[in-house]
Amino acid sequence: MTPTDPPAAHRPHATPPRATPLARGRAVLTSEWIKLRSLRSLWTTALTGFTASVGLSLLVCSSYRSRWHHLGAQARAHFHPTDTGLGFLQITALFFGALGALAVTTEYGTGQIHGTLMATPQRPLVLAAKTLLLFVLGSALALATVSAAFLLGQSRLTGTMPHASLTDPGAAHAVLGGALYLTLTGLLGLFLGTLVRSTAIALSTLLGLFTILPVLVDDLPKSPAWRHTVPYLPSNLGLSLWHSHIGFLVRPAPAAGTLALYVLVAAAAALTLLRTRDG
Amino acid sequence: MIEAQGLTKRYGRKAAVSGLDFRVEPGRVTGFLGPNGAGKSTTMRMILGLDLPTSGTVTVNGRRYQGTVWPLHQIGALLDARAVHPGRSAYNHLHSLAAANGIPRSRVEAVLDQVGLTPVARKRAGGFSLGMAQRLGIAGALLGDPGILLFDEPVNGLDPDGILWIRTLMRSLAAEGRTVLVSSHLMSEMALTADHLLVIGQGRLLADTPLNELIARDAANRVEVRAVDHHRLADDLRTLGGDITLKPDGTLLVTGLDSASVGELAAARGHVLHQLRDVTSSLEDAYFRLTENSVVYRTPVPA
Repeated sequence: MTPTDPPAAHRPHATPPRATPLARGRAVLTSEWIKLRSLRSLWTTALTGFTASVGLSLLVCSSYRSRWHHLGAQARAHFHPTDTGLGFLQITALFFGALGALAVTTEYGTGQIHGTLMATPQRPLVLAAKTLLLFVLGSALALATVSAAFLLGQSRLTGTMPHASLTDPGAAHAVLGGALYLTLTGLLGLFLGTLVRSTAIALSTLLGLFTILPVLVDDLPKSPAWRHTVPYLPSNLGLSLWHSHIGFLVRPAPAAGTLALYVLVAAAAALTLLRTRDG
Repeated sequence: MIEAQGLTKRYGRKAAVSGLDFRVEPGRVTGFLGPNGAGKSTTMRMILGLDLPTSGTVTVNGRRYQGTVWPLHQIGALLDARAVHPGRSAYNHLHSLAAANGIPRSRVEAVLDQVGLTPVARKRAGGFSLGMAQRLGIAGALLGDPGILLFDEPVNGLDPDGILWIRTLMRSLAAEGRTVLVSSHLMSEMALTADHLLVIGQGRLLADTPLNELIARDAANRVEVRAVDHHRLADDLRTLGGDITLKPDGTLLVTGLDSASVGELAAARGHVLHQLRDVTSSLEDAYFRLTENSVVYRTPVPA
C-alpha cells in the first residue's frame, strides 16, 4: 500500500447482538455474575459469616445448656430459646453489609470500575444487575445461614430445657425475619459502597451504624426523643424483625417497611451519584 | 472516527481541558502529545464516557459514548493496565467484559492468543508483570474487534521487545483501516509510530498536524553559521530580519532565514564563512518549542 491509497475500511468480524433491552440486561447480568463468582473476598466473607453465625449459636446454646442447672428460677423463666439461638444475627448483619459493600468497592479500589463502565455506559443497568444478584444470592445465603445456625443451636438445648423448632410459629417468623434483616443489610451495604467508593470507609460506617451507635444510645433514658429515634436505627429495626421481646421498639411489619425504605433511599442516592459523577 | 467540539472540562475554577476541537481519523495512528497535566487523560476519559464534559461534546462514530448500546464493538481502550482486580484470572477478567457486550467466549480465547497470554490465562492478574498487564489491557481493548482504539501511555514500563510489539500492533491496526489514538510521553517512540499528531498544553489544542509537517515546519528557516567575524555577521543578519542566538563557540544559530539568504548576504557583505548548514529538527525539538509555554509542572532551572 502506498501512502496515498485511502485506507481500507475496517470490517469487524464480531457482530454485536441485537440491541433489545432484554438482551442488554441479560448481558450486564452475566457480566456481573462472572465478576461476582470470581471474587474470592466475597466467598471468604460469606463463608466466614456463615461459620461465625453457626459457631456463635452453638457456643451460646451449649453454654446455656451446661449452666442450666445453676440458673435461678427467674433466669430460667426469662430464657427464650429462639431469642438466645438467634443472638448472632446482630453480628452477622455486619458480614452481610460488608458483602454488599465489597461487591462494588473492590471495583473502585482496583480501578476495575473503568472497565465495567466502559463496557456498560448505561450506569443504572450496572447497579440494577448488582442489586438483583445481591438480592438473590444474599437472601439464599441469609436463609441458609439463619436456618443452619438456628437448627444447630437448638440441637444443643436438650433435656429439660425449653427449645424451639422451625414448626413453632414464633420461631419460623424469627428465622424469616432474621433472613430478611440480613438481606436488606446486604443491599444497604451495596448502596453505601456505591456512595463512598471505598472499602475502608464503607466498612467503618457499617461498623459504626450497626455496632457502635446502638451500644452508645441503648442505655440512655427512654425519653420521647429516644423513642422517636433510637428504635429506628437499622440494627434496632433488625432486632424488631426477629426478637420476641421488642419492648419500646417498632412492631415487625412497620420495622420491615422502614428498613426497606432506608434501602430505597440509599439506592436512590447511589443511583443519582453514579449517574452524575465522573467514573 | 472520534470528533470533539468545544470539549471542556472544569474542576471548580480550573479548566483541565478547554474548547478542544479535533477529529481523529481512521486509517492512521494519531499520537496524542502534551506535558503532564495537559489534559490528555481527561480527554480520553471523556471520549469513553467516564468523565462528563462541563460543556461541548465528543462523539464516537457520531454518537455520544453513553448512548452506545454495545460500545466495545466500536471502541476499545487501554487506560490503566493495572486497573484489574488482582484476584481475578486474566480469562475471567476478559470474560466479564466480553459478556457485558455479548461477545462470545471464542473471542476471549482469540485475543488471549493474540497478545500471547494463553499460557497464563487462568493465573491471577495480580501476579502479572507490568508487561503482561499491558498485554492483558490490550487484549481487553481488542475484545470487540472495534474500529477505534485508544491507548493511554501503552509503552510505559515496557522492555524493548514489548515496545516493538506494541508499535507493530498499532501500525497494523491502523493499516487495517482502524482509528488509533495513542498518548505517550516518549517522543522517539511517537516519531516511529504516529502518522498524525494532536498536541495539547494546559488543556488547549496546540497542533493538529501530520507528524512530518510538524517536524519540517520546525526545522524550516533554522540555520547554523560560523564566520570569522561573527559579531558583524550577526548585526548584518539582524537587518535582514533574522533572529540570532550566539553559541559559546562563536556559532550563530539563525532563525527566520534560510541558508540561501544567509549565504547570499555573506557574499554581498564580504564575510568569510567557515560553516553554513541547515539545522535538522526532531519531533522532540518541535514538541519542546510547541509546548514551552504550557508546561504545568516545570523543574526549576538551577541558578
